[in-house]
Amino acid sequence: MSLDIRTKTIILLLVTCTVGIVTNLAVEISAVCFLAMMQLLSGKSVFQYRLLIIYLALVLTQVFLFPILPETLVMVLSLFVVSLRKLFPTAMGFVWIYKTTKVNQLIATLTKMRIPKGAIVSIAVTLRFFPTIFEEWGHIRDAMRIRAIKQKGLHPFRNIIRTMECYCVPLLISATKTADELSAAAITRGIDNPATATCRKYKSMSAVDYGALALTLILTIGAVVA
Amino acid sequence: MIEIQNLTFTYDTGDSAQHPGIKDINLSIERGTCVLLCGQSGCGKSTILKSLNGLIPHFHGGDKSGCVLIDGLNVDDTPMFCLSQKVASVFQNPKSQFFNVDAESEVTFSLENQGIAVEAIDNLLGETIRDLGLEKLINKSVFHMSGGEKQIVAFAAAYISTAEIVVLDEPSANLDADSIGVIRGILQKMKQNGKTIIIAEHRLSYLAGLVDSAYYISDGCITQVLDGAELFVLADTQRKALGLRGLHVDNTLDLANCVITPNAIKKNQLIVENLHLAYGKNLVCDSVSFSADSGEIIGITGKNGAGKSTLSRCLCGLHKQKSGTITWNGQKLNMRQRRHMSYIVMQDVNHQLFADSVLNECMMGIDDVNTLDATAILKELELHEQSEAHPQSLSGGQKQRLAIAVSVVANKRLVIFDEPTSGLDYKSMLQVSGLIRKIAESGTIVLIVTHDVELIQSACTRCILIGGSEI
Repeated sequence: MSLDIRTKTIILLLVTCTVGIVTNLAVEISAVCFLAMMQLLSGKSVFQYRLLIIYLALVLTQVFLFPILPETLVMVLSLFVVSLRKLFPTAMGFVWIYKTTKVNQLIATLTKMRIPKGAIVSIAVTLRFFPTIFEEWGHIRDAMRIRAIKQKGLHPFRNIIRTMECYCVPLLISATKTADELSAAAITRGIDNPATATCRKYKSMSAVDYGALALTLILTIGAVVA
Repeated sequence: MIEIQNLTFTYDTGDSAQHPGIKDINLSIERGTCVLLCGQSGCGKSTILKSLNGLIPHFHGGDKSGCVLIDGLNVDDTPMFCLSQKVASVFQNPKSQFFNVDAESEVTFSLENQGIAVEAIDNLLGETIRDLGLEKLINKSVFHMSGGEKQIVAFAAAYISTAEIVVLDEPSANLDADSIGVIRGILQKMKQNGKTIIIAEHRLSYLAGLVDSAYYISDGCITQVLDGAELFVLADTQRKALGLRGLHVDNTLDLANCVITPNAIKKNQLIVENLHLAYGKNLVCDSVSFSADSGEIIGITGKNGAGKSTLSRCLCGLHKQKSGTITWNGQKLNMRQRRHMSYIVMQDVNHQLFADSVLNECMMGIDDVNTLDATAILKELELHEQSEAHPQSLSGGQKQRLAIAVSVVANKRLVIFDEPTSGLDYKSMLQVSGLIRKIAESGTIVLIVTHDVELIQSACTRCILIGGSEI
């Protein structure tokens, strides 16, 4: 199943708003299940079972562990467990959209929606930028693992700060370089051409899109009313 | 027709080591010819290319005088998107010139930006796929492509474009011999189709028979003009004096030329047995076995995507093997122990420099080292004058030497170099090779992952072909 970017955005907005307004665990769990189903339907590589497992662990901690743990510990833990849990529906929605949207398809749809060229270019560049940054992050992590970065005798907190610093400096340097090279590559291919770009991969909203939207809307109303 | 008249340019940044300018360049290039710009790293080749594709003055700021005319149009007064229809570009780094996440969209990207009708694009795409034999590549995702495949797609994008002029900046820097063969084929087809090709390159052998004229650039000026035939019959001594890389393909890896014999004292021994490497279910490397003694310098070579990087990551304890063992002086090593004793000098050394000064970089995280020892090592690597400088302010070569210094201070016994000479001219390559030999003399086992045959011949004691058998 492949949905239009607009459908996906609206679904994400609806789900996030519902979960934000109706603070009910059952609703949140259904929202996560719904998004997991959307991910599964969009393809095996889109589906993130790890996210689902972490979410399950958080819910189980809250439901079963919190009642039996000492109160002070619950106070400290809940800050982490509950707030992290609440982010899950949004995070899963973003992963779903990110993994299923091609840059040229996005440009095509935004162009058809008559979004200004400048905005489209910035969105496209930003989206393209992330995978490169993740890759760089991996290299830096490798480099840090073969060197002892942590210093013995240093306060653990100072060591954490130091580790973060070690990630940030090379990452910023290579991010600037990558951004520069990507932009240079983009403008030598005429991304700033004021002519309306060809929407080669553009597909208009289909029955599946409207179906998915209707389903989400019904579920949302159901959740709000109930 | 391209006309460059009295072109002088200096970059805003003022750092002439990293951003060399050009002085008083005069050039005229006929339609349909193939022009080579050669010279040592930092001589200004790229600057000339950037003033052709419009990145100078539209993207990089600086002082410019003189003018560049493309078919009578002045580059300064022509907006980037118009220039992009006249000049297509291929850059050195395949990673950061890919704008889309699949090959097909990338190839058609410049056409889509121009707003050409869908049917016309589809026709052109079909032709390009047929001409260049891209059937297998076209639906692949960027994340599953090797560097060589990405570069081939970048070439296809230049091939399909309406641009009559193609500008290439060291496109072969990170490629294996097979991919270079493919891009040579594409260049030939471009030339047959009447495109004008301007290429800046260190690796020259694959351009034999394609180049019509070659300009040798030194310190931002054109100092010598040769025609293609003249260039490729230069005597070896002349070529080396100019600091140029080998002119003829030498894939035979004739290691009889390797004059280096391993150090006689066998202090340490690394044995790799039946190593199987995989990412998830994808097998990368199958039963790799070899042994290495201290003082040896072993080249590891093989196609892009054959598993060379995975192997080096595994040896350093950054990737867990599926099966097989790595032993050091008879003792089996786990990941942690491997991380402790080994080191990689990465292709992009920027990733591994963390501290705020060169001296601190050497001492970082190491408890039992004193400033004197570290300074002595820096002096050995000619970095002592910069010991207070910030690592990121150093030049590329200095950064690489600093990364090496770190490995010496940390007393690493196994050092792996990942493509240490990609994009380097002949002299710099020899310097790196000398440095590597120096490290090996102290008893360290050195592995070099590379496609650079000249480096292997000048530094390695033997060579392992991954995805094939040991030589």
